[in-house]
Amino acid sequence: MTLAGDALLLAGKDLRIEGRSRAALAATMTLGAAALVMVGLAAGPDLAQLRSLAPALTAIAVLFASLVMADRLDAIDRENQALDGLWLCLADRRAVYIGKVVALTALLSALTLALWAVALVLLDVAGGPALAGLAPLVVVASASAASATALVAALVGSGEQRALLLPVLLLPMLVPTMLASVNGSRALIESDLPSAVGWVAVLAAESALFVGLGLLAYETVAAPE
Amino acid sequence: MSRIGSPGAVVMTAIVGAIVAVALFVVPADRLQGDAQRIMYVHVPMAWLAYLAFFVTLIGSIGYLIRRDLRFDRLAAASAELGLLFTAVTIVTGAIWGKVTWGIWWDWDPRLTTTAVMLVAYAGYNLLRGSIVERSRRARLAAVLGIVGFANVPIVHFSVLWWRGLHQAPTVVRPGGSSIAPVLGLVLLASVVAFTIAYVWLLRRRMALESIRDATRSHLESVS
Repeated sequence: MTLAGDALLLAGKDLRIEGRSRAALAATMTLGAAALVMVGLAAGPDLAQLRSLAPALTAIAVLFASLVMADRLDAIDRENQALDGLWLCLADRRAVYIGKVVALTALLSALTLALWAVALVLLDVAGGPALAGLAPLVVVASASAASATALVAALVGSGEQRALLLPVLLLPMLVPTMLASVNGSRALIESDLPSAVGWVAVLAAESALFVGLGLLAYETVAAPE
Repeated sequence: MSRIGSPGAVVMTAIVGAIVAVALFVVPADRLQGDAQRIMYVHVPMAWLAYLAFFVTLIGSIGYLIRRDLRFDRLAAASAELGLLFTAVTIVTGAIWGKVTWGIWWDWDPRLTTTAVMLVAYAGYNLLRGSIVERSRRARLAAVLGIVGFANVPIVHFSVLWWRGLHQAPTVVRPGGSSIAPVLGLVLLASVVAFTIAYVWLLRRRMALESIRDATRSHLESVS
């Protein structure tokens, strides 16, 4: 098998497991929606203010929900020492990383689009036809977040401080992704398509950078304990 | 290994103390900012040392991954801890200076924000080190993070050129030459040198401590 073939096989495995249990999507969707309701309540009933804050609030809700998603997806391979088996049988172990990035991108995209649907209603976001551009923006932003998340999740391993280390190490890395994603979605809400395309390009560059880094470092950080 | 009261420690304290005294009492105050500008003699060296410390962490991390020698890991670990301290002092002294000159403790300025992100990133580096018991695994994972984390340094440094903000652009090392008054520049340079000497001294002590820890751990493992 090639690297790409192995990676797609592993991504398919993760997505099939999630498709059958729906555990991660259900939990993260509930967490993200609850976060949006809470920030809406905290910010107060001023609709104009909520509308202007919508991209940032949604990005924060997605960020925290995605931490849970990453944790869940990584746990699949760590339960019953499944990763040890994968490590022994794969010719190119970077396939585990690529597979994780692909699966995480798909799940984060679904989660983010669902949370945007909630945000459009709760935060009263009125967008023009340019809002259709949200889907490609979300996919590229998810790919950027997934490529960093898969690497950091492997780095923190399964130690008892994982719950603390994952956000502490990951959130600083995701700052550029969060900023580009907020600015891109704001541009779409304001129907500023050229600016949105620019932010999609920034996110694509960030994804490429993180994937390159992941390919270089994954085997070093993810070798079973 | 030198002790707290060793000649090295006394000399180091005397050098830093003398420079701080010159900065506080001898060098004239800035024409516009008055005495508030004197905080520059601590703020700027701390920022420079944070960069240097994280660069040394990068070198130690690369060295460990190539040679698998724990001495490189000790160098990276010791320097990252000091870098974290220098970054925190940079932020605190910057906030005090900001309150006097800008009227606010904190602004979401690119330089300030990226420095805060760098602080969190290296706090994460130290947390990761503390969370892994197995020595070679700790060194291996920390080395990767020490390399990745260094990406913060050029972002922090060039943030004042890439984005507009409240923080001033470089005044000493910049195209067209330094714009700082010669006397102030000289004291600033002396301050940077003095604090760098203090960094090297602290780095050596911290590495020695880590070496003792490793030796103790090896001894206990061999006994048990």
